[in-house]
Amino acid sequence: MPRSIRSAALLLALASGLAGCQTNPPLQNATGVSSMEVDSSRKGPVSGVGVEGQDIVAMTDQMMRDMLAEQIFADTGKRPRVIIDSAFFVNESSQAINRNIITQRLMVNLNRAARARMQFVNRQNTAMVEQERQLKRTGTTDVGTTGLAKAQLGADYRLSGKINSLDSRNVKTGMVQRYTQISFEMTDLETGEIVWSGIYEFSRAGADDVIYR
Amino acid sequence: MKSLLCAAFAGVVLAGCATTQTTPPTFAGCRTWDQQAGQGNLSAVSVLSPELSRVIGVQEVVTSRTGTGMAAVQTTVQNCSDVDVVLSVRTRFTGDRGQTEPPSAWKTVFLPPRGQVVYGESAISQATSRVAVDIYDANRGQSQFAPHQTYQIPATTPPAR
Repeated sequence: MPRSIRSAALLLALASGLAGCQTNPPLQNATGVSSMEVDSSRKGPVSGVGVEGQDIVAMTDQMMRDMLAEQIFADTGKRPRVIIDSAFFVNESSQAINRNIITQRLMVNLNRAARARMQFVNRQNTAMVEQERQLKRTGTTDVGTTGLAKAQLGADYRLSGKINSLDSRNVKTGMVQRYTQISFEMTDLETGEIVWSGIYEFSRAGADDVIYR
Repeated sequence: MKSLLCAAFAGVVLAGCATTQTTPPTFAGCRTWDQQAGQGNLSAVSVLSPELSRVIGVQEVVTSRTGTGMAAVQTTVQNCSDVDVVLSVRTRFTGDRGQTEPPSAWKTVFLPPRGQVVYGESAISQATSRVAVDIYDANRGQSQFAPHQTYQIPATTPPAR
């Protein structure tokens, strides 16, 4: 074997040996911030001018308490039937937001606090209920343990609402201000009367680079 | 030359007299929470921020029942300063067997300069018979305890309530 080829082979072997010994340095992110637990009912370290977690918590809590103080939902033994979902909850604001996050928290809180005072009807999953009813009635399954009902529940009241916003921006400073208004209505499904309404509104200003998604 | 030196000396002396503090000054006659310490009719209220207790005062706490029979509370808070103050306020609910329901969510309350505002909340459980109101600084971020951090010891300890 010529001398040059032998030394090249030696160099190659040495390089492979060294590569085998090399260990990766510990992963360091000196300029980053490690994740932290944040109280969802208070302003967190990343906050802007839009609807945030603490707003969802505060507004659903406020609406629930307000609704339960209404005489139509008093403990009279009647238990009016209500539908609370996002089907008629409209977002007309400049912020993209999952409306379910508001209606779902309101429904769960009301359900836990006032099951004795109102009945909650699941209209979003009507097809799921109908499918099971058919299986029971065709004999594919037995009738379960709670018995058969003539029909699915009809509702007395339904929640609707709107999210609106008004934005202003100072082009010199880049400062942004947003007024956000979230309104809730409970409508009588026979007469159309609005039996309860509530509003949650706030204004915030800032020049931070916060993106909501 | 002599007068210039005198003026400079006076300037230095005056600059030495000017003091600053971390809270805005309060107007005469307005009793702040620090001055209300130990007042029996306000025992249901806690001001959780030591700075805030030098700026705001609590006028009264009224408990009642709503139309549906739930316990309710109304608290009147006064701003003793000449700047806007933003508060976070919540209510804790208890009965004969301890806590009857989770605390309410923090509600943002705006206090205009020298202004008063009434904060109100109602319970959702019939078992609630007592309420307590927590007042906190809305513009204070969440600062959490973590091991290996160092903390500054204040020169004077705030009065315990």
